[in-house]
Amino acid sequence: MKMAVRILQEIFDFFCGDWLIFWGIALTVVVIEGIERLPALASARPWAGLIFFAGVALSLMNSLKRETKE
Amino acid sequence: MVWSAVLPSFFASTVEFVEALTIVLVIGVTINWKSSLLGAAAAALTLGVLVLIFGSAIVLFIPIEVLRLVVGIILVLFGLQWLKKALLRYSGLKALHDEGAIYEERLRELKARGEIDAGKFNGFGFLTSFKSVLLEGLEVAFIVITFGASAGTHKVDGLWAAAVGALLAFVVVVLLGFAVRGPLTKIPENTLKYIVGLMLVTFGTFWGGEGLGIAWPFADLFLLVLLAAYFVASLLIVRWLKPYGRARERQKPGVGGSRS
Repeated sequence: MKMAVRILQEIFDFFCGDWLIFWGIALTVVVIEGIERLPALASARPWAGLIFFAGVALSLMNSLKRETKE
Repeated sequence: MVWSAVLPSFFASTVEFVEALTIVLVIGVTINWKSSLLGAAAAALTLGVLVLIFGSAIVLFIPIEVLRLVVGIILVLFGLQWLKKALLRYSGLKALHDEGAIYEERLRELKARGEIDAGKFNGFGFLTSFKSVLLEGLEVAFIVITFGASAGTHKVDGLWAAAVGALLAFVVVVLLGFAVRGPLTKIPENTLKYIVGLMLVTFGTFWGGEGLGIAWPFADLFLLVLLAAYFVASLLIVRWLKPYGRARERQKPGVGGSRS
């Protein structure tokens, strides 16, 4: 079990290494999926690209903000 | 030739090869060239096999639409790591990567071990060289596979183009390494990391967005708009972070006002 967790941690560190960035991007993807699939959010579709860009940039800024406090 | 696969692959590979070459040179100088070069060659072979297996599997079994979504999201995550480190270094919150200092430090460590035998194969030297080249090369292999498989409409052409970029970087770094016979301190590593980070995040956003259903205006030309947007955003971020970097510099012992 410990070995499996360690392997997963190594894979996560290789590809991302930062939970703040990971959750920021995950949330952005969920929002974009919602915009593209749910009829109630269809009016936001023309802005989906901008929202995606903003989500990525804000995830980075959130992670960098933590570095200023260390 | 798929240039969107060649360039990111070339820049990313240059950074990683410089780091790997630093270790190979240290092992070669302190232990012996035989162990060092054998370790590097074994790692290169392992990486080649990995690219062949995973590259072929991706080309044969995964549809391009699925690939672009998954690869896009992974590239964003992967690229943000590079970009974050580069921005922290530009703003002074993290020390600049100094290959020269790393070279000297490793040289001291290995000399202290007293394991220098010029003629004989040395297991420690082989393994250290193998491990370093393999670890640095894994990132290159990942970029070659992902960019190669997603950049064009024909995945095989893309993989070839990305492999050419990596190979060019290898040749350039090795030739320069032989020419200077030391770590390549003249290569602006942080600038390269910053460029690669920007490219990875740009392509990741574009492909990930396409995979999620976003129809980018102007098709592939929108990559340039995204690149410019991330470039401007990164400049603003460095501006925002610089005061924190200066404050941290002042807090260091022996610098500025904290000497009281």
